[in-house]
Order: sequence, then structure tokens, then C-alpha cells
Amino acid sequence: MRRVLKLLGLILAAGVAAMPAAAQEHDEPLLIALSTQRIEIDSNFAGTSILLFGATDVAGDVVVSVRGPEQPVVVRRKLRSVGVWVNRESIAFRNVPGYYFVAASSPLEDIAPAELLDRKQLGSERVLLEAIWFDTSGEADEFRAALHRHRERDSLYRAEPGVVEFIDERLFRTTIELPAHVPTGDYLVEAMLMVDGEVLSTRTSELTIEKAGFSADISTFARADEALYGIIAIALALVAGWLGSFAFRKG
Amino acid sequence: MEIYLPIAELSANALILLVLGGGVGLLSGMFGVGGGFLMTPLLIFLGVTPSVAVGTGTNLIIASSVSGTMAHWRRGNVDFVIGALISCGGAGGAWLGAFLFKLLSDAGQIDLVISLSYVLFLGVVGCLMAVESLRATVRRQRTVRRKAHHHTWIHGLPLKLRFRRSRLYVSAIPPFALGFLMGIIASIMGVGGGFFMVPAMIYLIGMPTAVVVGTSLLGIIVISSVSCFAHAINNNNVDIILGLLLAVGAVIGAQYGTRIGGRIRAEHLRGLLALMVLAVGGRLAYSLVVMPDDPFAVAPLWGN
Repeated sequence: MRRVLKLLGLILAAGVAAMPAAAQEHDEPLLIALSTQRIEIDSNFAGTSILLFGATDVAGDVVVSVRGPEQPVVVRRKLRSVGVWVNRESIAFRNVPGYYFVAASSPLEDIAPAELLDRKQLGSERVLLEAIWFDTSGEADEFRAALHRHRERDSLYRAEPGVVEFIDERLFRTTIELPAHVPTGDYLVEAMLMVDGEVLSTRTSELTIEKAGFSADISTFARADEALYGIIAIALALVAGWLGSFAFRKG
Repeated sequence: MEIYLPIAELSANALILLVLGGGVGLLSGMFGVGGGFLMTPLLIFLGVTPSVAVGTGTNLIIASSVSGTMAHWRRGNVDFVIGALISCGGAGGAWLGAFLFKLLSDAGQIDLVISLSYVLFLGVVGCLMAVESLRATVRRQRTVRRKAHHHTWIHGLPLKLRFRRSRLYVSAIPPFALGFLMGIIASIMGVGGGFFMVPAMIYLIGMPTAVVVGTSLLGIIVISSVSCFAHAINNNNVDIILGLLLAVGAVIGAQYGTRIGGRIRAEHLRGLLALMVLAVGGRLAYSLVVMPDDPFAVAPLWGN
């Protein structure tokens, strides 16, 4: 906690000092900074949190969103047939973020009209889930709900938005929690200053999450050079078996 | 010692994996089976995805079949010609199996097919062994000798070859076809398939019992190697770290298992094995019929 406070002090000091110059330079009434822009996941990674700090020139509300790398996802439903549970129905969705987080300084519905929230996809229930294919006699919303349920169970989505906390009239901060199973890739962090239900200023920042260490090297290698990986896997197993039989021949 | 398994994407204790491999190795040494049919379901029960369990299983089987083959080779119990025929057929089957595996994965049905194959094979083999073991226990006094050679349609097939080590003159087609079938099964189930190959070699091809195990193990080395390679390039599901830790445990465990197995009466051993096979099959059958906690599953959509 003390480290966090110290860091907070440092960043705030830097932020305040840099503020007039930066604001002039970009002519934007909003500034943000992340406590880190690069996270390495090693074998001991059990989740982490990063801090977002910012400052505004204009009184208003701040909404922060974080979107993880997007990927097409298929949701399948098991149905009982001949006594056995079988995957029978499916819907595939385009560009589903592997992680989604939103935080706001007031309830989202009070900050902006629903139409704007939908357009900007603010709020995990507003993340656009566009179907690529449809293979069900049921409701697509059941599949969407299942996707949200799974992501919430893994703490990759959150049912309730987080809080953007104003420290004084100009400075704000929020905490972004990244769980153990956070997907690797490029993240987009976006902060919006909202005044009177409209976006006055937008700032973005990139966040990269990547695997590091020996295990990461293996998994990267296994995908980059599949044939060589396969041959090494076979060679290691042959040697292990041969050494085993050799070691026990006398005993 | 916690270790992160790069392909399985799980953290596990290295010592526990060694012990797990050792336990399965012990049982496989005791019963003279490969142990793949125990290891793959066990990995699935422990939370490894069925795909990684099968891919890694093929890797593990290479190691255990090499040490087994060496032991039989030293005693001269390997028919290399039949072994080569099984291997050629097996290589093709293993490649096809891994390809089918990918198609089924993409269709979202691979978990079901793996479970159903296990339930089917383990159920049939377990029942046959249980019945046979019971019979043997009941009438242990009057042992009926099977005729060494009785002619069937197998002997009418063309492409006949002389197999010196097995003292046979039969067609090359049955060993080749048997290997092919074994290869498909090995790639889809992550097993060596000795439990299926050994009886087929004795009853269908008519090979002498002494050379059957060593020869089938030789075939299994080739089949599991091709299968491992095909899985690595098609399905990215071979975890070297997991495979190696389990293999080291299994190879050591098998040595002690063989010694214990030598002290137990053969029909009792087969009865125990039958019970174990039926238990694993039953557990898998149960997970197929019981209502799942959540009928929905979420997966990345590959190849799009």
C-alpha cells in the first residue's frame, strides 16, 4: 500500500507539473497516464492491477474503458441426445474482446444518453457481439448471456462498472484489475471526458501484455516452428525412454 | 516445485506430476499395458483439456514404449518384419487420425468423440477381460489348450510373406491394416493401443505369444511418434514439459511395476486390470450422461 501511495504521489506531481505544457501542446482538456504500459506474465503470474491517473481542465465526468485483444469466439450449447450431452447448437461472434473493463465517475446512465453509450460500447453489456453464424433454434441472447457469464467467472468482464475517483476537482484515478488468465496482446485504454451528455475530449493509451520466461519461449516456439517442435518432442521422449531402460538394465 | 506447463496453460507441482507418472507407470508395468488409456483420462479429470491430454499422451507413450521395446529386444522377442509392416500402416493411420482430430476439434465435437471412444473401447475390453478372468479362476484345473494354427479367411489373403521370427507364412495385409487402424485410434484417443493390438496379433494373425508384446511395442513407438508429430503441427497440443515429467515418472514406475506383477497370479492380475479398465470407462460414461453444470461452452474460433 505504501508503495502505491508513493507512486501515486510521484505520478500526481509529474502530472500536475506537466499539465499546463501538455494541455497547451495538444489543446486537449484531458490527460491520462498508466502506472505501467507493459506487463510480463511469467509462470508465477497470479493477476495484477494497474493504476490510471488523469487530470482534466474542465469540470465533467470521466469514463475509462479498457478493451483486450479481439478474437472471434464460438459459444456452443449441449443438448441431450440419446441420453448423452452433445454440443448441438452454436453461435459464433466476431471481434469479441478477451478482456473488458469500464469505470466511470458517476453511474454511466447519468453521464450520457443510452444511444451514445451504445455507440461507444461503454458498459460490458453494451460490448457489441455480432454473430458470424447462427445455428440454434433458441434465442441468440441466451448465447450472449452465456458468453458474459463465462467471462465474468474468469474475471475478464465485470458485471458492474468500476469507479473513477476524483482526488480533487482536476485529478482523478481508477484501478484496472487484470486477473490471472488475462489474454496476452495489445490492449486499448481509452478515457473520455463527458460534459452535458457529450464527449468533450478523448485520450487513449496502449497497454501490452505478453508472456515472458522459459515457458513462454516454449509456447511461442511450439506455434512458430511446429515441425521442429514436434521433432524435438519426439527426440526428448525417445531419449527419456532409452535412458530409463539403460539406467535399469543392471538393477 | 510449481512449474508452468506452457501448452496446457496450467501451473502444476513438478513432484506431483512425477509421482502421477510413476503411479501410472507402476500399474502399466504390473499389467503389461502401455498406460495411455489410464493417463489420458486422468489428465482430463485433473483439468487438462482433452486435446492437450491426447497430444501429450502420444509424447509420453513414445518414452514408455522405447524402454519396453529395449527390454524385449534384448531377449530377442521382436519380429522386426511384422513390426515394420505395422509401423507403415500405423504411420498412415496416425497421420489420418490427427487430421480427423483437427476436423472434429473445429466442429466442437472432439471432446465427445474422445469420451465415447474411451467408453466403447474400455467397456468392451474390460468386459471381455473380466469374463475371461472369471472363467479362468473358476476352472483353473482343466486348462484348455488353444489350437496353434486354425485356418481362417485371413490365410486366404494375397501378398503372403514368410516371417522367420514368428514362424509364420501369412499375408502382409493384416499386419498393415491392423497398424493403420491402430494409428487412427492412437491419434484420437492418445493411447498406444497395446490392449487392442496384442489380442488382434494373437487371434487374427496367429503370432506366437512370446513375440507379440515386443513387436507391438515396436509398432507403438512409430505410431506414437508419427501421431505426436502430426498433433504438434495440426493441433498444437503437445506439452513437452508435462510429457517429459510424466514420462520420467512412468519409466521408473514401470520397472517396479514389472517386479510386483511377477508375484501376482496371472488371472487375478487380469481381473484387477479389467476392474480398472471398467472403472475408468464408467467414470467417463457418467460424465457423458450426467447433466452438465453449464450446457454452454465458450471457445475461440480458429481458422477464421
